[in-house]
Amino acid sequence: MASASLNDFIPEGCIEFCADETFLQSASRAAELLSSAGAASSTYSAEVLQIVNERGPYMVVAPQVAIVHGRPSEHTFTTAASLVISSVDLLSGSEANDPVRLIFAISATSDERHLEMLQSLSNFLVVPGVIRELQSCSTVSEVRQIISNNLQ
Amino acid sequence: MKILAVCGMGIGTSVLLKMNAERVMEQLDIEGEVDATDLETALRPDSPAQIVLCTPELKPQLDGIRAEIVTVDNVFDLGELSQKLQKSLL
Repeated sequence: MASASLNDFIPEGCIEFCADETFLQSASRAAELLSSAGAASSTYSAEVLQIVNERGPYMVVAPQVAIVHGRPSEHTFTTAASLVISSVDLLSGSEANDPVRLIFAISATSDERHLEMLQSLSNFLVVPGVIRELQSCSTVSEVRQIISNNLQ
Repeated sequence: MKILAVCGMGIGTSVLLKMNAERVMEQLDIEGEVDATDLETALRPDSPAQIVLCTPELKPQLDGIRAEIVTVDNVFDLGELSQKLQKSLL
């Protein structure tokens, strides 16, 4: 299936390696990257944390992978994604999928573009082995390369 | 067969669940409709869903729903989805 690459949805500066101690700090950082890139307002990370606190870690959707986001609102400006790769094990409370090492934050605007982004994210993450490959990266360009090499 | 993929907002996890459930159902040649929705909508008394898909942490928040709840640990593991959907649907 031909579709947009996940790289197209990740603005420059929105991939970061981090060693924050907690899941919430790292989730907040992923959201802040979207704010810095102009994809969401400066309050976006607070919204993201509120949802994690209210609903629990249901957004830890696969072993080591969380996908965090806020409510669709006037605080999201463009459809975009960011990625934080943690060098430490983060405990979210997800029984099946802890520890978390990869946190994607997403911001959504129009439905169609949002669906395209999620489809590209899903097309990438269903490829066996990519989660491990991302963790072995030490530069942003390596991450970009792995994403563009693995589109199912 | 009416299936609801459910998450907190109805725009993230549930959409990924819907996409991959549809992919698996097509492979298995199972007819059915999958909608992504938020918790509040899923819990409405008039919700038509027979099966609800969610990640394990949401299950307690769906307490009392009439539909069968199927929890998915790894949303990107098509094998897990396939196995669980076959168990519930066939």
